[in-house]
Amino acid sequence: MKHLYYVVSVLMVSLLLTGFSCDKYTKAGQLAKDFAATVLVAQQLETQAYNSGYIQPASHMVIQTKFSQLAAAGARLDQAINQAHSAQGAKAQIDVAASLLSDLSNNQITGIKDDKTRLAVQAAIVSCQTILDNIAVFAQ
Amino acid sequence: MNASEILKLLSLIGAAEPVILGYIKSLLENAHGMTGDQFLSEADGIWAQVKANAQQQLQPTPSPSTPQS
Repeated sequence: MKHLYYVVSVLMVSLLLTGFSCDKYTKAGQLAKDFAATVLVAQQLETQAYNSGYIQPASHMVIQTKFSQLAAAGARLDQAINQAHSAQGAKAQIDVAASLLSDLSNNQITGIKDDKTRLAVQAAIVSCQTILDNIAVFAQ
Repeated sequence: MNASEILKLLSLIGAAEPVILGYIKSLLENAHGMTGDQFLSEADGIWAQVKANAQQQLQPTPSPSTPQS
């Protein structure tokens, strides 16, 4: 049940912060930070589920490798936003991050044995995808 | 619902997990008045933590040490 509270909280914060900034660079930076923070929450949820015995060690390793790759793509996305002073030009990194999130959502977390835990991790990843979609709007 | 009301609600529902709640609170409290550079700097810090967490999880579990006699 606690997991669901976290996910609801993440969704509330994501929605609340979406409208705060006005100029494109600040907005893109804010979304980039929200994206990173939400990925961190998803990672912590997955680690907690693993420590509770709901995820097999082999799956946990694959998922954490994906999170590590996501962190690398996220850092490159931040760099691209900084260089362009907007999200324009960041499309390549957005695509990499979107692909990793899609793989996590569709393949890697499907093996989580506990239904509530799987749904909570999935909801956190959906939040990440939603924020990334908002960044992608600025990249066009 | 404004930001302070949401903060109060988060405090009520998230008391059991201060680490995650702390991140969510910091998102709310620090969002106003920050520049794009500041947001990106914080994002980079969070990515570094995600990477460090992943590396920690990917490390092989150390074998139990032999007790010293």
